[in-house]
Amino acid sequence: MATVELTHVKKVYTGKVIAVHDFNLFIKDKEFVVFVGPSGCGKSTTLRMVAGLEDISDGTVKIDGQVVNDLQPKDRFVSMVFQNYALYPHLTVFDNIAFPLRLMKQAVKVPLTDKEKVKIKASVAKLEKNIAILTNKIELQHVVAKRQEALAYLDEQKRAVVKQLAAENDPKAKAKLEKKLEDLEYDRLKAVYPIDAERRLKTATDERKALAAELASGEKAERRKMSNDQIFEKVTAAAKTLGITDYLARKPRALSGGQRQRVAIGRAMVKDCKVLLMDEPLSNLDAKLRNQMRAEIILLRKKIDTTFIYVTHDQTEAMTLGDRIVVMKDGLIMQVGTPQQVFDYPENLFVAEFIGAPKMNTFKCALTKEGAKYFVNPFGAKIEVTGEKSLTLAKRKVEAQEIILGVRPEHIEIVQEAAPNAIHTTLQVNEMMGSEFHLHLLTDDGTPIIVRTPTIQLSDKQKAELVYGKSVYLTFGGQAMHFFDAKTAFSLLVDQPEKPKK
Amino acid sequence: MNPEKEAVVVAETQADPIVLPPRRHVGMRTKNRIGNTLIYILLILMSIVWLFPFVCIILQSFRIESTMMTGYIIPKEWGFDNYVNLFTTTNFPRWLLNTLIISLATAVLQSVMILCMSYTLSRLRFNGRTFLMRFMLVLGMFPGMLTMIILYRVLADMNMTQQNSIPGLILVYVASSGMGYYISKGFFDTIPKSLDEAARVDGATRAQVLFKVILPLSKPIVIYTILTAFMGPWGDFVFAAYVAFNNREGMNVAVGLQSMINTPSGINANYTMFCAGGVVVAIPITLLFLFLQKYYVEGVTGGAVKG
Repeated sequence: MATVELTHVKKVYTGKVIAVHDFNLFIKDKEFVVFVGPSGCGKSTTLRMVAGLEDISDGTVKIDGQVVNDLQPKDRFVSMVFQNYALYPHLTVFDNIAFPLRLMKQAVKVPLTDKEKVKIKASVAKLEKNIAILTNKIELQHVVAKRQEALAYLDEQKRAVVKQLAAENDPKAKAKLEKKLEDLEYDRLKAVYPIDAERRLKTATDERKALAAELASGEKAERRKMSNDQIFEKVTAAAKTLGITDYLARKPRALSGGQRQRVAIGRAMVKDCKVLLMDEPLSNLDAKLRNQMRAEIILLRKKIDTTFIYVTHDQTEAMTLGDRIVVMKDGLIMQVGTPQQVFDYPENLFVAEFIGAPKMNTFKCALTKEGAKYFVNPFGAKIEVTGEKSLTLAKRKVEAQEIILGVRPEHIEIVQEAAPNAIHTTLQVNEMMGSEFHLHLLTDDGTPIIVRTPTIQLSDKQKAELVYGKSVYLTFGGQAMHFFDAKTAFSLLVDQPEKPKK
Repeated sequence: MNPEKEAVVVAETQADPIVLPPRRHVGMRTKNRIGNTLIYILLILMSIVWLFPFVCIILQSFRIESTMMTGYIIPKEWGFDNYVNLFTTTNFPRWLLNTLIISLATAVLQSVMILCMSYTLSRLRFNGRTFLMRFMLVLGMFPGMLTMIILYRVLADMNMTQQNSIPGLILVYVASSGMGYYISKGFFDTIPKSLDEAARVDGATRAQVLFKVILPLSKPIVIYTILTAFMGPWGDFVFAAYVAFNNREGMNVAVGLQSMINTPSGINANYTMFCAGGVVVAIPITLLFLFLQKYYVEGVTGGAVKG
């Protein structure tokens, strides 16, 4: 239960290969965020940086407001589910799930002995002495007028150097001046923040406060291992949630893939973690089991109630699971948004093609403007842009230009005969999916188009006719279109968020 | 169709007329039986050659009619006198204790070092790692005997020779044992890295990963490592002899036993006792191997999967 904040996170391998460029993301408490993208896009690397399994080359990762860059994985209080389950083969299912609990130490209150009380009193006295000295010191440093004077002097010097620098042409002298400027900057920082003494005073005060509280309550906090009873309780509870109670005594190798994945999830959820990380947890399962486990993860999420980061290359998983989706490509974030946003308003061509199956059809054509109306002309047909899309284009003052037009396969309709707004195509392949056909068609100039059409609207005769070589006319509504700039591949419908430089 | 005719038919139908000689049909079972018999005869002969010295020593150790070397093998009078004398009249118990201390200490220290070294080289990535591995491989190619003279001087200066040879020998055996990382590193490399990662996320330190996850999964290699570490000092003669330098308190069993028969009079007086000593020394190692040979073989072959 915590927020996760990634700012300017970067991963560079062996000085050359950049796996993640300038990754910025704020994940809210209890949010389910999915990183999705093709393999090699840096999604797993980012996740592993959050977990602490990879060094962070640049930038900061904060969990619960605390910078964790230099913390070991064990000190970050995260859990992780791995693609290959990573169960300990030598331990039973029970011991596997209990493994993190056995390593964990809990804060327990223990009454103080008399000896300890005396000791604490002595250290409080010592701290008080220190605090007095430090306060005195800071007061001296805080002779405000003097500081102001110093700052003014340094500023003046700085201005002079900057002036000199602008006038100077000789590179050697320039470098010297730059060095001087840097030194001045440092001196200035020192004058602004008389940090050290203040920081030490703060730690000393905090420590005294903690010790005083300990004395007052007569108890001290101690970190102890969890008792076996507690472990047993927690493990059985987790096993019950996941339906693996019957297998607790087995070794992982005696389990099926789905059961192993459940154990892995159990091991991750049993300790109270701040963030639960999942690295393609369903990739090793067969299709049927994957659908089932996906539904279970959705249910589980309600029960566990923590922050999730989920990595997958499967857009269906991303769409169904995520509160928010982060689409990535080549180490860059392409779009962040809810599944609906990402599906309806892809910010660029990559996201448009990646999200949705089969992928969006795209073709080059021209966007023209006649009065207030917008038209597109794919393959000679003339189709008017209508509804919200047209309003958005007008609002954004989009001019007539060459564009890449995108239409999802399910938004293309089949019409019976030629019309000005219809495209003539020839059927190549008809994939029967049960409730729908996936038609692979070729336009007259050889551009492939995929159409998803529900079978329920077609008569048996029509279905039988849909074979290789059949002539088919296609059209699509003015609502269903997506427009991308032909040069930049950015969407013309949404404002582009500021992209980081490569 | 009987087999002889069949052979002829096969030959005739072929385009290129190779005339196969009519073959005597020998059944699969008979063939196997003949083959096995030959192999077993060979194996039995080899066993006799190998076991003969051992049997001789065991038989000699029970001979009580005389103590010198004789021209026959089967004793005329049997008894345990040699064993009793070995433990009561000589320094043998002391030597056995010396050897046991040295071997146990070496086994523990060397195993810990080798396993930690292997884990480090298998899992951690640090600057100079590959250089270190190659460097140690090359260093390992020089025979250890090269260092004997200088090591003796060093040990002598530290007062770790002669009667104080136990710490000296442990030091020598344990030093540089990290270089024996090769086989166990190969074994560790076959354990998926994601297990380490899972354990680290679960809250384990690197050391806990090694002791709670990796080592339990590497039982064969751990046993192999301990066994080899134990056996080296147990049977060592050259270095132990050099460090003990004829001091009867500082000898290990091998050196001690040899010192009983290194003079002509010694041979005559102690030969059967010497054989009894040999048997006593062999017993622990034999027992260890009997119980652990399964792991030992797994260790050797398992480590070879990925070198």
